[in-house]
Amino acid sequence: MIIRHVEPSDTKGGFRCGVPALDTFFSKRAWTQHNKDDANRVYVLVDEASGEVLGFYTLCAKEVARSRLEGIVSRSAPPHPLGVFYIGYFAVAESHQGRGLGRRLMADALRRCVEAADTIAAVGVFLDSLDDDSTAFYHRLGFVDIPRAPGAPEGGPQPMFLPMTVIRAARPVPP
Amino acid sequence: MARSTSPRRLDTSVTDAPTVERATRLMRTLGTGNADLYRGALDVFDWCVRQVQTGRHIMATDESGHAPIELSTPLLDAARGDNRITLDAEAFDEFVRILERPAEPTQTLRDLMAEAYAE
Repeated sequence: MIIRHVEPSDTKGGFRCGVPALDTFFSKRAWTQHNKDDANRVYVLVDEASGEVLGFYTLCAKEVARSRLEGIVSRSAPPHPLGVFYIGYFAVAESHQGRGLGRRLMADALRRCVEAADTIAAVGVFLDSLDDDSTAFYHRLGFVDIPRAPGAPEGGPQPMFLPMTVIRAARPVPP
Repeated sequence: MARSTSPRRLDTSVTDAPTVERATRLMRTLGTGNADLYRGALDVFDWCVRQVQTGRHIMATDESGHAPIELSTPLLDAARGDNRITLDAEAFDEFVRILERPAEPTQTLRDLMAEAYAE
């Protein structure tokens, strides 16, 4: 198995993860966003022998900002938006779930974030978890829930964050 | 999820249980059916997207105009097109707290990063 940038042929293989929105993104928009729009970098986990896409994730840079509508700003609030890496889509093929492939993808994503943070400042990794199983997985890695906005749709995505300092501290100590 | 089968028809199929439950609850509350719920949701979301695309914010207030809260979702953030994740005061303060007092890495994260750097 290898993890590499998405290629056009990857998106035509009928990838299915069980979440229609993720499947549609992968088949319809992943290549364009990766190759043309530069809106996301799309990484795929591929079985080299068969060419089957086993999973994928996307990475991009975003900034986290405080809503400008609220007048009271806590003293600790930084004056400027803070840069983060954002894992927008993260999926493992339905037929390969439960094999630890999500771990493999996340390990790759976090390593890329650590390396990219040497070039582009970012305070951590942000994502939106779509279901309870995913949230439990991210919690085990140390991702912390960010409170949803009041009035946010019930059952909607759960924002989660992992600081870069924590990811760096988890790296293995060189021998 | 929706797919366009012709310019005059849009078929939808929602299969994940939480979304089906939410839609069912809303239909019961509003006394409406699938198509009207979809039209109503589309009306609201279309309006929200057009507002954020012109730089405006979607907010709710009480009758006196106090305590405004802003609606922010990944899709609306994407529609805003500025790659910004907007958090309300409570969420932003929690975000800052996590940054200022980071936890120790979990053993699971240490194991994961060991795998990442072993490759």
